[in-house]
Amino acid sequence: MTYERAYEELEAIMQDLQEDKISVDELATKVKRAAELISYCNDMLRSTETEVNKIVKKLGL
Amino acid sequence: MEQRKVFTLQQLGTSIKKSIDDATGGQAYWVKAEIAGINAQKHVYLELAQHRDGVRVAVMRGIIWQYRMGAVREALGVEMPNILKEGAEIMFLARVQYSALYGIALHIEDVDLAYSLGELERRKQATIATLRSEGLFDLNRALPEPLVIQRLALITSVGSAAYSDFMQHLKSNEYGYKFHIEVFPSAVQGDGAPTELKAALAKIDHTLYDAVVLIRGGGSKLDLEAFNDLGLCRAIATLPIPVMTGIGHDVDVSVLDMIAQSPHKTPTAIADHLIDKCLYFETSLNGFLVGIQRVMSESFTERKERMSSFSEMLRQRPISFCQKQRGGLHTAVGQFARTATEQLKELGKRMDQHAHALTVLPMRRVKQVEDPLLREQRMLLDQLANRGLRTLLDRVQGMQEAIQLLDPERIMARGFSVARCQGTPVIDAKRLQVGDILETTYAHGKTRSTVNSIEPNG
Repeated sequence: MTYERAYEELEAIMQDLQEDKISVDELATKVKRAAELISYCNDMLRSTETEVNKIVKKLGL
Repeated sequence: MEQRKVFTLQQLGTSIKKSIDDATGGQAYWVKAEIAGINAQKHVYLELAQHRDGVRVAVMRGIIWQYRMGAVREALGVEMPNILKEGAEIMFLARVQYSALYGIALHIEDVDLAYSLGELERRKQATIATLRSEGLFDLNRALPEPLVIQRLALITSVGSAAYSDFMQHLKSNEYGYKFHIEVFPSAVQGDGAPTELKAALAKIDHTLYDAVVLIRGGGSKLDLEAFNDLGLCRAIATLPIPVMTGIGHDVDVSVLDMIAQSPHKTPTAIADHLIDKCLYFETSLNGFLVGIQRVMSESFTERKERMSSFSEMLRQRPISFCQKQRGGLHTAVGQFARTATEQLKELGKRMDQHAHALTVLPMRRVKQVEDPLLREQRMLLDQLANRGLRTLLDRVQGMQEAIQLLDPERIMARGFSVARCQGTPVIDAKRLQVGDILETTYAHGKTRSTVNSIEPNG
């Protein structure tokens, strides 16, 4: 899964959540999915940031 | 024999000299002529000529005496070799002198520098006009300059100060940039320079270089003439890579400087420019990297913030959503309860009404439909029922009496008694054994006795 795809899905869930569009039946599933997506995105961000910093450091800046 | 007047050659010469001297009155004239030949020794001997439509129409000898050279040199300065040279057109101040021994000669006392420079300018303008008319003037100038210029085809006179300055300057740059330089040696001044320069240009494979650099260590104004050469300028203008000139003249520019993509005053100025370009490029690269870093870091920060705001929302939103749902449910239940109570109350009221109606209405109805016949029948029925009941009561009373007759107390009152062995009434003597203890109940009182003998058939 790409960061963009994950983010899109997450944003959709968050929007639904904000607008109370999620039924109680699927609330737990959706919240679980959103939590997964957030931790996935966070991991991606952190690893990419580390990678970028490594590259920049290599260039001696 | 006819009388002839005969002169000696010297007499004739003297006479000619006298005529000329008389005619000129010893005056000096400004004359313009082309130098067809020159022989500079102690004195400078010139062959002066004039051409019209390619045909020589006048020729005369010219001499600059040694004692005049000082003045001439002062007048021409550094340009002297460019003016007093074969092919140059000059304007000079001269006296016409005739010598019987050497013939006629122009004794040159002064040479006009301005005229020579004017001629240079005229030729230069002619070259410019031609290049423009051929559409070549802006060709090289219009080429885009590469971001970085590192591969150079260098045309210069190897061993000149310009060459070593240029090389030294590039090699010792403080940033450590490397330049790849291939030298194409050529004379850069003098009569042969345009031809040699064109030959050098022809050797350059322009696909291998970022630019052509043409440098010279400086020189006189008229030295620039080589760089106004039409053929050379054509070759430079049509080069598909930028040409950088460092011909080294402060005041005047050559045509080459005008048409070159990147003209500079001196070779070191070119070197500085090349180093500056590298530095600028590197600096902008570094700038990009810093920019990337900043943008990335901003983007990361922003995304992370968004993630944490999502996390926060995810932590609270479902709970508040559930609370809201629960609240809604609670309200619904309350409402339901209220409504239900009211409805029940209403229903109860209606039931009461029905019940009331049920107790009242049938009777009313019965009363309404009751007719005398029915009343009679009912009365009859009542009577019958009363009679039946009486009979039943009588029978029950009879039975009660019969039962009272069978009461053991009554029976015993008539003289009967009941014998029990171990609490059980004795009905068959055969069940008893000698020595059993009997308890006998009478109408009044009890006795205990022991069995002495048994007679089964008694």
